[in-house]
Amino acid sequence: MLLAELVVLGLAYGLLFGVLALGLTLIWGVMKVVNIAHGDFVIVGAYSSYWLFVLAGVHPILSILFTAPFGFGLGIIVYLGLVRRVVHAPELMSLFLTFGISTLISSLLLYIYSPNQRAISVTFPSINGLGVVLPGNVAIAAAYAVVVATLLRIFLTKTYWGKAIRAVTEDSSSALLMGINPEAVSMLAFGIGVAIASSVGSVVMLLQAVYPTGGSEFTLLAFVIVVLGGLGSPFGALLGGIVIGVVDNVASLYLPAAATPAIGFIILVIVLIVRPSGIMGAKGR
Amino acid sequence: MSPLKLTGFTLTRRRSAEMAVILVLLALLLVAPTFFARISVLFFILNWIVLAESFNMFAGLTGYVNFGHVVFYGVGGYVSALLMVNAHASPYVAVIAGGLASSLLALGISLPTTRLRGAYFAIATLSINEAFFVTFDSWDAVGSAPGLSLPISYYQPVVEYYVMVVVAIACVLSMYAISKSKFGIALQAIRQQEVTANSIGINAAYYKSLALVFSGFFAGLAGALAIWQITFIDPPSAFNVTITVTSISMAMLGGLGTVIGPVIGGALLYELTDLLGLSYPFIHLIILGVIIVGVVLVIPDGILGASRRVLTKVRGRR
Repeated sequence: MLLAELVVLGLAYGLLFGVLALGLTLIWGVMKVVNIAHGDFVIVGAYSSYWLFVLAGVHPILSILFTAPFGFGLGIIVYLGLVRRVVHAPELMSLFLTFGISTLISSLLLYIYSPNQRAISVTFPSINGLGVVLPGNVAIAAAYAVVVATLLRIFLTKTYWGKAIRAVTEDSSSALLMGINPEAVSMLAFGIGVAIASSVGSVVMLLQAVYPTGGSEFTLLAFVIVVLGGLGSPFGALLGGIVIGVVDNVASLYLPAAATPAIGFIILVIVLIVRPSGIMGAKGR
Repeated sequence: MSPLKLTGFTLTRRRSAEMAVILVLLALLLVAPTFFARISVLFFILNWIVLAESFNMFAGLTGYVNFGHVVFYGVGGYVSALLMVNAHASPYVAVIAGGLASSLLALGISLPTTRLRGAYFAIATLSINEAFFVTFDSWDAVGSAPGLSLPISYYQPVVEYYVMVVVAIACVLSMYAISKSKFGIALQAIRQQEVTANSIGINAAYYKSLALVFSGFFAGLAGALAIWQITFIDPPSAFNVTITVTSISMAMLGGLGTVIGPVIGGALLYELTDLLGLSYPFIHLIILGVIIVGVVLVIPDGILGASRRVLTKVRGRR
């Protein structure tokens, strides 16, 4: 039953990564900015949870109550101070800017906290069912992902601002004509995107050790998923996350351990060659 | 003052002043080993200039960002190191082979990726670096994690310095020649309006591939030369993302898309990357991040572009 177990594990991880990619695709959809610093915000969230746990004994799951609003505020500050000024500049400039922000965050973390890995040992009892064992921490991560995805869906379909985000993603000039303020929508989307990234960081603390420059791995992972699902498509991001999660875990059964980090890259290249606009087929520019 | 007519092009007073400055700098570079003891400092300034200029050769001309620039440097370094260690090749042959290997790699990377637009291209290149690091780190035939050391007999600082001078001049001249040629104009058209460029018969994918091949060639030479000087290579140093970050900030600080910009940026930032980086390893990265963000927000056309704007404003007032 190892295969079934890996599939379930991949599904759980895939949900979490899918939610991470949701944050990236939300930002892309509204302002056509690829946030290369996305993974670095995950690390910021993870470090916040780490210190809350070590210094104040706050459980990583509880610390989401801090990292999510903190990420939201951080995202709004970064948007207003930096990103807002390149939204209408050539794409090259926004890529350079978010790359610079990524460098800045990871090097500040390196400087303040040293390159050491940080980990918390908190374990939930594992779940048994149908002969499949799922580690408790992974199950909690999947539960978090389902909650966030559901909340986001309600927000995007039922509330004014959620609908506004979807309207701007679909056609920003028509949205402007309908009286939607694209500036406010962009700020909101960036805030939500970073809030998602940094709260995912809290959950990541349950699953693995983190280090200051580890952000690029999460950025890449989110990119692979988003490209697979199609830039700008929230449902595609979740689906892409599950596909990557399952393929990654199952492939580790058949491939040498050294090859596993390359799997994501190989999937990315294949997808880009075969279908550059992703599974869900949102149009590339 | 009447401009001086010289073999086809007009030599204005301003242009002759620029030429004089360039010639003096070149002469200083050539005689430097006779009076300057720490020749490796000049070597690495030139090495960084080549890295920044070769990044600029692709990003500055086509408007596409290659976040995997360091891969060309690393592969160039590895190919030349392997030739010197295993085949005892002449260092000149090894360096040129390093450059050629990287341009072949650039061609290989460009085949699937030049069809991608904007952000998709950047994302694809972002993942290349990690793939190469992991591969070289676990590949025993290329020394895997412990890396490779060159036999000490290869170390000839002055010879290496002169080869570096020649490569740096060739790199800057190539950038100049490309940006003035029909090829460069085609790249400019692609940067401004790729769809329109395609519709009037410019094969965008072909021209972008060619630009990446040139970029890869010079970055590969830089990697091979750096390994000849350092006499050691391992995956963390060969595929270090910091090298890409540094090349980008040098090219941007000087002025992306200009010929001289990366030279200015490289010379200015060298102190920061090599000297400050040694004693305060993380602070120089913070500064590089600030420079990239600051240049994007304050002077997107770099020092060169900004100073030109200031100059025309001052002249206009008179």
